[in-house]
Amino acid sequence: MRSIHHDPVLKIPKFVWLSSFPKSGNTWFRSFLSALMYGEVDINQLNSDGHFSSIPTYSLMHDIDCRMLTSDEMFVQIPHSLRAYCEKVKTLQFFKVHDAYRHNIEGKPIFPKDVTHKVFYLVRNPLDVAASYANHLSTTIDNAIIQMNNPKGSLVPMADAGHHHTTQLYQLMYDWSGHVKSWLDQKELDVHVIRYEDMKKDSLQTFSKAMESLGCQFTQEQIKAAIDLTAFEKLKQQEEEKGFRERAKVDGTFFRKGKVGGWKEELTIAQIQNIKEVHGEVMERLGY
Amino acid sequence: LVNSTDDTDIIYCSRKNGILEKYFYYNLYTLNIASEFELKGFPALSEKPQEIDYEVSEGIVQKPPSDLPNTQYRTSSICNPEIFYLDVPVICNFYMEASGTIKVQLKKNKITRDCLPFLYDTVLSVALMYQNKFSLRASAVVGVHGVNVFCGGYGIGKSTIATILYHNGFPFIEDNRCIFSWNEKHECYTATNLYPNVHLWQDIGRSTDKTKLVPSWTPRENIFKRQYSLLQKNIAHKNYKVHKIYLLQAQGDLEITEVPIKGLVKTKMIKDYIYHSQFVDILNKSDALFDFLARLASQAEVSVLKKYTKIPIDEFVKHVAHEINTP
Repeated sequence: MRSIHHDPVLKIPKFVWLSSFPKSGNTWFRSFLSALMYGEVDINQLNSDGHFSSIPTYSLMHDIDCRMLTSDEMFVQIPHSLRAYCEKVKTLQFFKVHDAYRHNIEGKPIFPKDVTHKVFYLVRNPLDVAASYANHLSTTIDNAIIQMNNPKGSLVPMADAGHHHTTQLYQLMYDWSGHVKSWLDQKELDVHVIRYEDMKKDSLQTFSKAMESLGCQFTQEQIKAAIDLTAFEKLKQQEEEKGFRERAKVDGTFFRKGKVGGWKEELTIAQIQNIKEVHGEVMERLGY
Repeated sequence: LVNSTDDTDIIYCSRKNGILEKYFYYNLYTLNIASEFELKGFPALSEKPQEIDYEVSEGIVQKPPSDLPNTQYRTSSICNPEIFYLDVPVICNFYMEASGTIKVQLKKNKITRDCLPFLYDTVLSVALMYQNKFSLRASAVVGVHGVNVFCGGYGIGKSTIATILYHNGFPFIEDNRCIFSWNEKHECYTATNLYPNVHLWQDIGRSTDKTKLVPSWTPRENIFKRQYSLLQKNIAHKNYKVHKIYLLQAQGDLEITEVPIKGLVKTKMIKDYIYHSQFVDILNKSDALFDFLARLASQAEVSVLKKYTKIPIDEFVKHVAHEINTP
């Protein structure tokens, strides 16, 4: 396995948050990072596989069963846990996150500035997200749009005050626009926006800029090789052969079409209007 | 003394002039406990045991100093062969002395009940280790050859598997923590049911027919885990020899695959499922653990059972039921 962990930036013991609304290219980007760092990609063993909402990680860290803490209790503790985590590690930690940027019940940000190196915010045209999100949730496109329009939308639902999922924390996302604005409008963290459409259209330039913004010195050849290893069809083929543990439902597939502009064939006029009506302002801001 | 029945209150023993008059007595996974407050979820003993392993009380807990010799300092715990300190974020602090006391101090706005799940999990595991006892993170039922143990991490479905098998007539032993007894006469480890309870999450494990179970209590308010009582006739009442240990792993595979483990590797692999094995070395219990694991591994078959991603859990359990029911 090839490792290029010699870059001094990668030795900073802080977090890089790979944040996105679901189905916006997060897994693709993490696969790219894995290919770049290690020269290979196994979608079930992504080397950039830290997950902000992983309850087992917090349980291991605190020597307790964190499933027995409520969401509110967890989010009060999480900033402290993240700091403690950074004291133990020696390198940049690339962590996937679907939560919106927000504060806990004590009014403190759940993503502390002092342990954050960078945020990569991955975003995709919500018109394309809709059909993909519907597939992810094994529901209709109409239902997926309802979720995307829900100001209290979450990926793992919360019942009363307690999270009750066995492996992942309650993930409050707001609606699609709310999610975007929460990350892009906060003033604490340094955010680099990556549009899914740009990853598709001009992969080399988009991924190169992202790595530059991180402060890392990768050659164009290294980045191109990583992009080649993570072509959509290759990731999809891996899922067909070996399955994918991050798939939400037992049926269906995680990697669907990965297409830009697929909404023109998949969404009805009413669905398009609905999304544009609710999210038009933020879509325009992002060039959609 | 009678255990409380509602979901919120914990009964304390009466005090007279500040002196504790009575304790609740329990046997928790082979440890005799005297507690000044009720340890809900477990049946209190009607009489005081001859020997008490630990006394549990509420009081002020002070964090041990940062320069103790031969001590392991982790993010939330401090541990050495004499003392164990645990800071449960937002809930409480525990201080245990290996000589036999456990003290808990609650944090702001928390009630005694809030600390119990952490007492039963981490603190109890270390208390057992102080006594050279080790528990496996596992559920277990009895099959045709003896006890079948299903080891797995958080959320893999240990309780769900055991509950479905219980519903299918396999005598129930345990849903979460397995303790084995050494039988001198037959020179083997055995297991029996210690508590006729199962703990299930409310929003998952739909395959477990909760309508056939009797809810007893909820360990924490707003946490969707509930304890259910099981029927006496469907639990294992006598000691059965441990036959096979399945190490459950969630994999991306599309099929159920079983990989038999042979030789010394068995010992190493079972070790990963020992409750809170991160404290074994600092407690100087490595030899005792190796002795336990080596004897267990020489007696039991061990297999890694790779668990579905696409296959529904009832189908997975059907496969397991066939395996453990085949002579």
